[in-house]
Amino acid sequence: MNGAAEGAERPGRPDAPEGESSPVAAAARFAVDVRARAAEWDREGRLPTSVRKEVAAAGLLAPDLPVRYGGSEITPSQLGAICAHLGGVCSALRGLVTVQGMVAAALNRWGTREQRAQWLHRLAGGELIAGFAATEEAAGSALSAVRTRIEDAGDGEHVTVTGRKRWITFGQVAQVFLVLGQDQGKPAAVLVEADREGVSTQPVSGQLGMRAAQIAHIGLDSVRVPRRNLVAPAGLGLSHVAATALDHGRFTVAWGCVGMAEACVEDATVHAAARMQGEVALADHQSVRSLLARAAVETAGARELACRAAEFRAGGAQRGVTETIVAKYAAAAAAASASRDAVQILGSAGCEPDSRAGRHFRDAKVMEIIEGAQQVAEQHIAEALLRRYAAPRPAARSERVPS
Amino acid sequence: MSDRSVNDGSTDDGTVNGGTVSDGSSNEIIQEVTDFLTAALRRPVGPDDDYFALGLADSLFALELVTFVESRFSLTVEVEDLDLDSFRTANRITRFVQRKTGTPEFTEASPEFTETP
Repeated sequence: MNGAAEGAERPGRPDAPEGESSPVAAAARFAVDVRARAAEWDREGRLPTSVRKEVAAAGLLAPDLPVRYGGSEITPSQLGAICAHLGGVCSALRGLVTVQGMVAAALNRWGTREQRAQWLHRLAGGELIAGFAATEEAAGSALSAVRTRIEDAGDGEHVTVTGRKRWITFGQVAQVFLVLGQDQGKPAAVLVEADREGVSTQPVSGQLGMRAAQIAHIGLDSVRVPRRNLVAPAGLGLSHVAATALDHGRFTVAWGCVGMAEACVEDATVHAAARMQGEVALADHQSVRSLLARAAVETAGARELACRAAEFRAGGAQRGVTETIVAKYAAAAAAASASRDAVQILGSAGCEPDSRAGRHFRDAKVMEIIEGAQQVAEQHIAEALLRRYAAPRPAARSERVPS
Repeated sequence: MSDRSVNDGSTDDGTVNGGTVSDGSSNEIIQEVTDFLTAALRRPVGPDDDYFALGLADSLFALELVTFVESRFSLTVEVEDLDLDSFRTANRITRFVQRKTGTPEFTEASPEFTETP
């Protein structure tokens, strides 16, 4: 849906009019089916292989890809609704859709015709699970600092990739990584299959959140990769390839956070209505109602901003970059505060090992950090404001190139 | 964005109009491009200023620039076109747009033009 559908039902709500066979309806059913299992996945630190296959079979991996590349060409609003459904039950599950979508979006936008033909079908079908390997020890929000080296192998046909990547979502099981590195000092991107010699994975466990997302640190030790795996010319790996992936990631994370926040509001309200203390329901305390009301309003606001980002994105590739940052910023904040308040209202029930609100509380904090920390988002949002309202600065010292 | 003082005066015809489809004349294209650049970078940008070399471009700017060029001039930037050199100055973007859209008669809007053999 886009601006033309103003006033129509928003997808992603339980009552949204969706065909039985649509990916959004499939995601809604899938979320209901796996709802009771998410706590176990979190405890065990993994999504069962069968679940990844079911997600793929339900058509939920890169469903926004064109039909000719195995996608369903769904709209940004539909993609968002899918992520809200999945995010409401399990952030790791939503993370699977996010990462696959990021790599697919970058390849669809900046891959050559041959690369699209080679990779996209397999990503959409779940034949390959992708990892986005950007973060390093000294390069988090500031990805221009990546030190992974992409070097000519000397035979004219290969490059070698050397470096250490950290916090790679589904890095334990991904079969291909989109790696951000430096090629002769220029940011460059290259696809590295996980089964190549020199690729090692170090599983991460016990981290604050996203525990079922099979996160790994990845070692790349002089990995020989064919030149045809280079994505876009050197120099554009960060500003175009990684930027496209991250923009897509922020969009699906935003919607996942909307789903988390809505789930927390629901759990908190159900509990507040049912739980009696001293013959008074929690929901009859003004302070509890106040928490519920604030969480509900912040959550509804986040959903509207996510819808707005989806409407902008419906206009074409790379539209709505700033609107997506605004949505991700608001939705991560809403998920963090709604989950915090839900745990507070749930009390000891919120602190139990398998508490959904407790899990969302841990996961939501991670959402305020990944795909651009809240403070980085604020920088960009303020920059957009300055462009709009502030006078231009004086002309820069002239540096001209012959045209 | 068309209310901004745009550059060093080297583009001159004043036909900028942010709301209509360009007829493809190089002056019009370069005016629109420099308007966009000036607004996006919040500095006056001349037709041959290399804003990447000047360090004016932030991490999202490159994508925004591609999006602007695609939507404003109704073309698609493919990876095969994706050469940073085509996008580093307003004059080069103008040439790129004309190459992609097949509009003829590119005339340099550069103050150095007359000085360069």
